[in-house]
Amino acid sequence: MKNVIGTPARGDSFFPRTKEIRKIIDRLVDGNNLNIAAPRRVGKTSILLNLLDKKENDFVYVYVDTEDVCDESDYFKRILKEVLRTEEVVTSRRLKHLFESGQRFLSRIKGIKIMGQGIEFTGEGGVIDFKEDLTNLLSGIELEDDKEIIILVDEFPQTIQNIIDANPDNPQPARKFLQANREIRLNPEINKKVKFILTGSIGLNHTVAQIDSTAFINDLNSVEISPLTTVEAQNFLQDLLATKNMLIDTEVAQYLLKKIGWLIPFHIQLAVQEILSMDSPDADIDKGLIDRAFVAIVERRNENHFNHYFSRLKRQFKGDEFSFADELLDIMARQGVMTKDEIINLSVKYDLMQKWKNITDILIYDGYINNNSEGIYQFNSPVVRMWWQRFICK
Amino acid sequence: MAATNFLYNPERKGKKGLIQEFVIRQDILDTIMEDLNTSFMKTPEQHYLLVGQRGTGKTTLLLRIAYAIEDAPELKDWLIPVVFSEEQYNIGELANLWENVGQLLEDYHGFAGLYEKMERNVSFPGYDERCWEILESELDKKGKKLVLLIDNIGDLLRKLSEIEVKRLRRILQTKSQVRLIAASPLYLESILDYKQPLFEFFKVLRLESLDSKSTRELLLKLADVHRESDKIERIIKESPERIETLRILTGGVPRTIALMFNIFIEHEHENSLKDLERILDAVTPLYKHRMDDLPPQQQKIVDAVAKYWDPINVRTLKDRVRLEGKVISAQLGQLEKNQVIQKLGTDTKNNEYILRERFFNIWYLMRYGRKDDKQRVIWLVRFLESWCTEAEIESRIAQFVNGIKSQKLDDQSLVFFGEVYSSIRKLSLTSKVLLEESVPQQYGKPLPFSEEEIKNLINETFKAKEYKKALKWLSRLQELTETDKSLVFDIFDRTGKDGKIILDFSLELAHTMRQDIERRVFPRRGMIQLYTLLVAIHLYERILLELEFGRYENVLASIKEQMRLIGDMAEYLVSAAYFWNYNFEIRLLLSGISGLYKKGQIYLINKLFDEKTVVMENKSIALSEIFNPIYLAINSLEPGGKMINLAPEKEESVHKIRDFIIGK
Repeated sequence: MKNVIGTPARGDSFFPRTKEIRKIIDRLVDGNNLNIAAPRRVGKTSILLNLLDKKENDFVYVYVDTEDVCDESDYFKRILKEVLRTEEVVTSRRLKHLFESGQRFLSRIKGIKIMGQGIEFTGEGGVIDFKEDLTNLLSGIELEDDKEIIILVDEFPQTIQNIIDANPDNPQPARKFLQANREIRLNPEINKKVKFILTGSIGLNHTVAQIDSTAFINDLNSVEISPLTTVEAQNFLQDLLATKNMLIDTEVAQYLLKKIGWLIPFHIQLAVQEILSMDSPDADIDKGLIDRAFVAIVERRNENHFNHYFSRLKRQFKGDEFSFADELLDIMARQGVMTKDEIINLSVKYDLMQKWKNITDILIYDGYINNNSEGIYQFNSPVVRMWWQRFICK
Repeated sequence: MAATNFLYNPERKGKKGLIQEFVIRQDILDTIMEDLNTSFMKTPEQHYLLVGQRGTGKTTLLLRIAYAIEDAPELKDWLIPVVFSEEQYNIGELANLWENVGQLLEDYHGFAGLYEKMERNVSFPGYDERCWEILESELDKKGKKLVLLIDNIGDLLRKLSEIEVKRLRRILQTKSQVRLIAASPLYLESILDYKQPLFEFFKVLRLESLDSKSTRELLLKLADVHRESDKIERIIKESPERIETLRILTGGVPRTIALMFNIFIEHEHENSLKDLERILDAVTPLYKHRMDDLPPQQQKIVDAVAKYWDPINVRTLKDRVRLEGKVISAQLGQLEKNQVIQKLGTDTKNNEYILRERFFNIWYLMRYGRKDDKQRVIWLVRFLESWCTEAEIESRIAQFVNGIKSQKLDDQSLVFFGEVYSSIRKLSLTSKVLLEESVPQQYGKPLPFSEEEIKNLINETFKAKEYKKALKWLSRLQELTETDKSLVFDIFDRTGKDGKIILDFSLELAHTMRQDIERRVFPRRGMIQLYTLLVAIHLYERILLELEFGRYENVLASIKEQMRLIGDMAEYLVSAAYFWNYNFEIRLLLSGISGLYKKGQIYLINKLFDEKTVVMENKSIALSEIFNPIYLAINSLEPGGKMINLAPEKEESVHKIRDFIIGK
């Protein structure tokens, strides 16, 4: 297993998230379209890609990243193209036969042609209704063994945000987009053989709430991705170190994991990276080294991994909302915790008494903080808190 | 010189040269190559970002990686390295990036028709998307993968729109056909916020400053290239502290180390300076941009820190920038955060600060240091002082002086190195004299010689009959003793027939003093004394000649000139009392007057005091007042003249003068 930092882990580098995968598969089997809800860096994309790589449950997976898409037509075009590139679709004789025999849905598709070796997308440059083409394709598609298709859309909320940004003061295009997606998901012809899993690095609920369109996602079943358990984290740690022929004592491993606190794979990977860069090959990993490595995680050299916490804040919130969020995190970084009363008090300073809950919910969703203990809010991750203290606190 | 050419353009070195000379950053190369060799790129792989100050070897490393891929048996058949140098003027959008790749693949890797295929879609919306898809498809057909090695990626990203950056991110995150190894200088925050998500999933490898071991390795390699291995090995063995000093001085930045090394090794001063200027020109747009981006207070602070060169504390900064201490501290904090300034801890509670990039500091001094101020060259002075032995400095100076004498040096090199060498502390006397004598006055500055050194030089040059040189050293004394003045007379005696030496030198001195006055610098008293004496001697010569021929009016004129001279010089000595210390000068003056008296020209003598005034301390003072004792003595010599009642000490002076005039 390689210690791949930041990029979604693939193949042997992916640490098995059996529990999470099981949860997802079960809900798909139950017939749900899913929204995978989790803060940044928890491993959502890695999990999606693992589904794709392992072809879990014998589904046919299509992975689409729509982060850079900013209009509806492009979005459906992207999905259409990716579906048509999927190996099982390209090589499906059944599907080809259906096309050739003029099946009622497939014959309506304008941007596709049957070529010698399969089906090809020919929609470039033409004026085509890609939503219609996609609807027809997904309605008419039949694969060998009646395999179900799971379309994994990564950065779906970002796409919505892009459309909102592209049409300032006019939420209609974004609403229309959400509506179109919902239509496809709930289309009875499609729904029996195609499911969608949507996820992204920004929260879907509060993106959609901006334009009062939560009704258009109420069909989605939310799956939460948790951090690793302590046992999983320990195994992960051992596996990462083993690739460099290093061992770590259980007690020392627990010491490290306790320091990391919020056991997302990414933070464990960073810690391992620092341990490896500090250690001489023959030395044992002891608590002293752990302490040094832990501090080194938030050295300037790793700033690219943490800067987004602050830049994201600036993009998400404007004006007083940003100032409130900024000060809240500043206090929390210094004090360790904040009570609900303290937060409410702070919201008064910025005249945000009606909005503080919404803002803190966004911060919770995005993984900055939690309120795991009743009425007490704190940073999710000691690592992120340490970084905040060091580089952001005034 | 060839090696220096490539300090800023390593790609011009050629593959063989670069590989041969590659010695530092081996660990990073190994890390990346290990990953490349064990990755099959079936799924998207780890991307890398190499971050380090300018000059730390990022470009060289990128090229080295490219060459290593080309040569790796496990990789060369399927993995294609594509290098994008710092300047990518033809890339203004994402599509251009793919087009460039397409062109390269077509030209060098047998992807016939690839670029044309892309171009066919140029008028369609989503052109860059199309370009990528075509590229992806062609790579898959040929079973090839790409490694993009992009230098200074910030510049490229700045040209892309937000959506294009997201598109690039998506491709890097989801496509296995390409992986990216990018390089960026320290200032990642200069890349706009929305581009930062691109780097979240990069593994950052920092090119840190070199440690002692790596510095040694680099120097040995440089020495090998220049065939100076013996010299460097000897230094490493016998005085390893010099290596450490060099490392600290240069901040451990390879390019700066190589530059200093080249200056050290290069025997032709002109070449070193040209090379340096070339590199400075290359970095100017970048560094100037960095300065322009700073707010005014920070610019002021950076200016002061740069010009100081050595570590500076807040108190010293306060004097130089005239800002409140807490304002300075706050701005320093910001500059430190932006990695312009580096804080150095000290044993006290006062921290010290330097510019983090030493080469940036060098650039700043060379571009903004005052031309005739040693601060411009302080960096090189420090280097030579700490790196070179006294013998090596002497040798360099000797070479420099030879260059001047044989007129091989251009003005720029002359000025530059003249400033450098004359600023070195603890120069040997030999070196100082060489510089003093060889660097034309308008280019150099007077070097500091101790009084003892000057006296020794006076004696040496006098014994060697180098009278003009002896006079020159005499003029460097703070004050002439009577012994020194005797020496002047000696010189006069020996060269009297050819009075040119005295006259010429006095004219030179006059010129120097005038320049000093124009620069509002008070001429040295010794210089004034010497000048006065020389002119007095010269005039005395003339007086004797004119007396011989009975040209009494000329004698009068000469004596008046002497008096004016002495009176003028007296001005600079603040008080008229001083001028009575002009022992020899006054005696020469009186000799002239005595000559006239003996020829019976008493009324003529009286006319001396027709020159009414000399300006002293902004006051007009009559000659009769300045030369009052002489005036009274002359009055008493007139027919019917008599001694008036004087104070006893003054009476004695007047009597002595009178006796002298009448030849008693």
